[in-house]
Amino acid sequence: MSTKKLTLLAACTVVALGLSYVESLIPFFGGVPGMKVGLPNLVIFFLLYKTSWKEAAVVSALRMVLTFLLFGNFISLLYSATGGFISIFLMTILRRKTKLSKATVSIVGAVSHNVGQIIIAMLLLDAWQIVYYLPVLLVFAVFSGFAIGIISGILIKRINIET
Amino acid sequence: MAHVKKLAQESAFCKGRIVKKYILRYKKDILIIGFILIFALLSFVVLKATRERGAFAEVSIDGKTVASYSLSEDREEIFKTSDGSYNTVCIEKGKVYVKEADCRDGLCMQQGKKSDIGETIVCLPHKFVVTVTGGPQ
Repeated sequence: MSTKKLTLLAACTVVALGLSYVESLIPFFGGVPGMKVGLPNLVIFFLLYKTSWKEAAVVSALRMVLTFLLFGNFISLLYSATGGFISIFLMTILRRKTKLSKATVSIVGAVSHNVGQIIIAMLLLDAWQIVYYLPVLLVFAVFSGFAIGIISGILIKRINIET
Repeated sequence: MAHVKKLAQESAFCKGRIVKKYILRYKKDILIIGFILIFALLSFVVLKATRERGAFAEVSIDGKTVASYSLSEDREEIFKTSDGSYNTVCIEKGKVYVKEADCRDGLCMQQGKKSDIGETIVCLPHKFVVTVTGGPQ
């Protein structure tokens, strides 16, 4: 790994970490516990398109572990890890195999993130009733995923990194 | 004047073509997003339709059911978890809600009052779940 790449990934991790703190300041709304816009995904999505899924996964994992060490608990680490890796996996496949726009890939990522979290919450809390949150989360994921995809698209176009 | 009108017509024609071009270009995208939204709507309708008014509130901590109360009786109970944190569950006028808790996010208190079967109040930090059920278990 070149020094340049190392620095890039470090910078991206810091930005993602900062964004997840900013996100925690946005008050809760919508009647679902832990519902978030997914601001750190701006960075993950950016890396996914600019480099490869490996970099995105590494930064995503580092971000989660650091958030956990700084202000989280272990349960929320499990939730974000499941959602995060399912969405990175799906987004990588869509990016490589289809010609879908970035916004759609991001929407699919957001939706799969939420579905993954709901499944893990159902298993961990042993309560299938959590599925009642699904419709609200899906609609919300479409909007937040669209926003993240559009903004990331602009970043991908404007920011030039040479690795 | 005729010139302006013609120009306007042309630009409107172009606009229509551009819109059409975009729809064609993003056909699959629109299909996928539409599918997700329709799925959300359907699941909402199905979940809403199968929902009934509940009779009991079941409290579970860490996956184990610790208490079950009838919704017809007003009451207030304090639940302590193993590490000393607490959630106060309140039943009032057939609805259950979390009145007080010392969890770090306080989301359980913001989830409001619940009364339908299957509705839940979840406190993630305490692994604390209140579920409305149809009968005692």
